[in-house]
Amino acid sequence: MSEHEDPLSSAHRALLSQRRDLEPPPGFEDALLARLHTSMAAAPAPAPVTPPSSPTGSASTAVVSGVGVSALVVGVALGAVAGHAWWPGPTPDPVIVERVKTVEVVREVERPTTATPPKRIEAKPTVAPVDPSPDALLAEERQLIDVARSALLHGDPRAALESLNSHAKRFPSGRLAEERASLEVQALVLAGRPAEARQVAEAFHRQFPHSLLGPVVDAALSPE
Amino acid sequence: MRERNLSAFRLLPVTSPSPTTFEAAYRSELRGLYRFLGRLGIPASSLEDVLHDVFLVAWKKWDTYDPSRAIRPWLCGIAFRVAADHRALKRNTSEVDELPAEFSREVVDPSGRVDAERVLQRALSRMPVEARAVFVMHELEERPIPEVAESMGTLVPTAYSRLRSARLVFAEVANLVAQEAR
Repeated sequence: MSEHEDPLSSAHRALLSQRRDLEPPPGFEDALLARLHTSMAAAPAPAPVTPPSSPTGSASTAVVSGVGVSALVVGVALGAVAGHAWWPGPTPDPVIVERVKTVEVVREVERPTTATPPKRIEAKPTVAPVDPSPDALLAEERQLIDVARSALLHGDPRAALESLNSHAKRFPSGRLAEERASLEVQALVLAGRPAEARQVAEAFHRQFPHSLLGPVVDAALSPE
Repeated sequence: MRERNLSAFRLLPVTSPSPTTFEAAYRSELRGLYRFLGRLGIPASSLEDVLHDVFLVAWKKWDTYDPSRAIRPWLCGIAFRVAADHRALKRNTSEVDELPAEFSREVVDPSGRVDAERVLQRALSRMPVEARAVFVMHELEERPIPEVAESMGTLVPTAYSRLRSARLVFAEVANLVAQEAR
């Protein structure tokens, strides 16, 4: 018998087809999601901080060019922010939140309580790279997407579309093009432009046939 | 305490999923993962804990997910590893492979009818966990073998080999039960 030969007869398959479907009990889905919200808000940053010279292969690494100790602390600050800025509910302007948190934490680093000597910080002055790294570009993309999302949450489709258009011009094939298109459909619907929304939705489904945001796009087009 | 010149830093946020994207993944995949883990032998009383761990791991490792590919194989791979760890912890307890209360019936009822669910549970409990995972994903969840291999982090021939082993176990159990029913 070859490995691809099926030892199951039609009777066996009939038996399999009679199995019961295991389904979560009522309320399970929402209760687990609420529990996840809590865990994610309390969890540390999704990925560790590494120095720029250490290749990680991970797009989720928070990188600060130049300074080792401050990078670790900033990473912690960003992790704390990431846990709250993304989840759950309406999102405040993430750019402002991140800056505030970072200033506070950097001050703590400068207290002489850690084993790392201050001169190590001075020895590596920060230098902004000429060409943005892929992670830096993604950060720019995410800022534009977040502005659009925030505008939608505040009922301002015009502002959302402005930010989405900026994203489309700056990053026509960006990594967040999928999210952009999803938000564009929602913004167009909110702006009272359903025909355009449907066109964008059709293009979205053609380009992202397996997208997790497909149901979100469809729901935006469905009348309540 | 002196201010730092933060403009000198390039601050790059971590790449975490947006709430919309993650919740969309959660809503679309939860039921499938519930079935998958239940069929792997995670008792009903532990499913919430294990699923919580699966999605938390997924959230933390979101940067490893390639959005151009379907998410289900990636999540199933995480679920399999989390479940394997759970089973390792519970190996010496009676929780492993316990059936939900409503399934605690004889495989063959007094009228001679075979309880298909009981047969399946009995067969699954006799399979090695890797073969069981392949069987569940392919035979019950109807995932193609290349996707199953991807989830398990293994080669397609290995997945086929495990599938064959699992099918043989199921056939053997089903045949024995059919003999009991006569």
